[in-house]
Amino acid sequence: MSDAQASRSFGIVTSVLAWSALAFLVFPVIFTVIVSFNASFFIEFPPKALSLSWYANIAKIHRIFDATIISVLIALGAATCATTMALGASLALVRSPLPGRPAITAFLLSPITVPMVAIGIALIQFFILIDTAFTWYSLLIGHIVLVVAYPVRTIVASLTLTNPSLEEAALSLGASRWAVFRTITLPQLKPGLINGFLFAFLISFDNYPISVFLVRGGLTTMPIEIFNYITQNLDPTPAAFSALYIVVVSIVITLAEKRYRIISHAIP
Amino acid sequence: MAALTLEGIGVWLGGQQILKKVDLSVADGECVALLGPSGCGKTTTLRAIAGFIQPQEGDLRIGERSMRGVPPNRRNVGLVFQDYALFPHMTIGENVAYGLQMRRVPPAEVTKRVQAALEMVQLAHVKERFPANLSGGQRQRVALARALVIRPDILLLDEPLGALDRKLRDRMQVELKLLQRRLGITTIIVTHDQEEALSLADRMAVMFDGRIVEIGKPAQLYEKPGSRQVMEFLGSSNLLRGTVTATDAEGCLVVGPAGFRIRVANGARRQGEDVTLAIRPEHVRIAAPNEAGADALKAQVVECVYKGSITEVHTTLADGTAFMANAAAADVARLGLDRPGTPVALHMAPEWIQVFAT
Repeated sequence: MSDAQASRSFGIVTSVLAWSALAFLVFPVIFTVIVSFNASFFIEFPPKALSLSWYANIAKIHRIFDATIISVLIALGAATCATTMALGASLALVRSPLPGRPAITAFLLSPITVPMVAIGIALIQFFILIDTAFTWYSLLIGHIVLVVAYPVRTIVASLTLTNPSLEEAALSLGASRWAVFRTITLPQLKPGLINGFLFAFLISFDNYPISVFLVRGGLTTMPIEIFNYITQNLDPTPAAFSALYIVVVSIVITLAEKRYRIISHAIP
Repeated sequence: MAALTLEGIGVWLGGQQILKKVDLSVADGECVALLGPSGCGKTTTLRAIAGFIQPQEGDLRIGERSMRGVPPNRRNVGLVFQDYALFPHMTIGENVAYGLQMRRVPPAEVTKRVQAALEMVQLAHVKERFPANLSGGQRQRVALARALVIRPDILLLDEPLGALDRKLRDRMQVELKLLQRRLGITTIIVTHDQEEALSLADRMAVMFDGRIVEIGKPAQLYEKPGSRQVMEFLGSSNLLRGTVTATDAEGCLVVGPAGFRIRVANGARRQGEDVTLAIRPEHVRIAAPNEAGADALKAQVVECVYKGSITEVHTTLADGTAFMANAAAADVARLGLDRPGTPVALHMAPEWIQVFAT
């Protein structure tokens, strides 16, 4: 086989692999969206007739609606707290002569690698021990633990990219330490902060494995309620909800990418 | 504006002594260049003046005021960074206004002074643009305007022209010098580029290994350096080893293994002392072997490098010592210097020969 042939067949193999990977990612989403417009009560493919009735049905299932509100509030709270805490942690990790920084970084990033079920079990045991299980703040704290690694990662990346001479320039121009932080450091970190916040929000918003240990009764989150609904009903309402969710998230990500280049920041 | 005094400044970083008793006194309005190879402590000296480093030893005064314990934001020092450090999220106007706003200057006056500062560097028309949309030379001038608009006591320039291309650098060198003269501001330039130091500074200080080894007017340091180290660091030079064989009231006679007997005028030397003679290529005259005088060195051409205004002629002496001389284009043709192996005679004017203890 000649070099040209070899490189052509290599090209074919890689493009087939790439397209299959893309298809694998995209087809379930497309399938879900198509099913959500299906007029029939049962999930079938391809749909025989189209209808928007399942979208109308979302609003009628009050548990899903209420749980979504709770999920939004918890995700907002967890993302805000986690981003603020991550900002402090990142400054310490990148700027201070703190000993053992690699170990602390690994610890802060560990929720990404430790199995979520293990984190969930550990959290609920801890909350029962201090007698705060199944409350708002135990759910919030659980989600902060879950998401804090993401803003740490993006803010550390942003901080490493900033030019320290900018802050020195500001100092030499007469700015106090606090003014330098407010007018120079924070604006430099904006992409990392927004990126981290968005990641934290999305991870928290659709988390199932940790939430399932922390919710009870009326305190319940959207993914839990969707799953409960699916176990008891067979109709495509969850598909309609998922389709809506995909659209909203896509819009948010697109806007954030346009304005702050968050995806370009996440992929080094 | 004020004078600057450094007295016995000692700085240790990470257990290593970076500055060793640095003394420097800069008069009000004077421009002094700190010149040296990388790692010699020149940048550390600049950072100590700016206040980013607190020296463990010695005293640093701006005017009469000791800067011990004074943070950078209370020093009234204008600093131009090597990479300019313009704030990328602010327009040029906002960049220049920053120092004034931090000093709580009234907004109307801020606008006026920013405009004046940008006009001074001929950049008033880019006020609304962001640093990313400016050329290197424009950024450099914005950084200068931002440092000067606060009316600093001292202006510090860290490798100010290092990031510019050759032509722009030559032009900015002239502009910078004119500006510094006009404003009469006390200026410290840190550079590893000797041309920059020679052309910009009233005086220059050569630093090696955390010490200022020599300070003086550029011409004095270049032409009559006090040590072999400085002679070798500034420009190119030829070094010849030899021994003093005779001394009298006017000078001494040095004889070397390269086959020369040279009378040198300067330096009190003992008979029998080993010395190094140093001479710059531009002070050597190349002649045909038959025109040789008694003091001339016999050499053979190795290589001829055309540099535009001059031609560098690389030769070897009888004992193999490399020796370089500059020749005019006419001499290259007349003496056949472009042919390797051509024998030549090298004349050195005695007043340009420096004698150093080996």
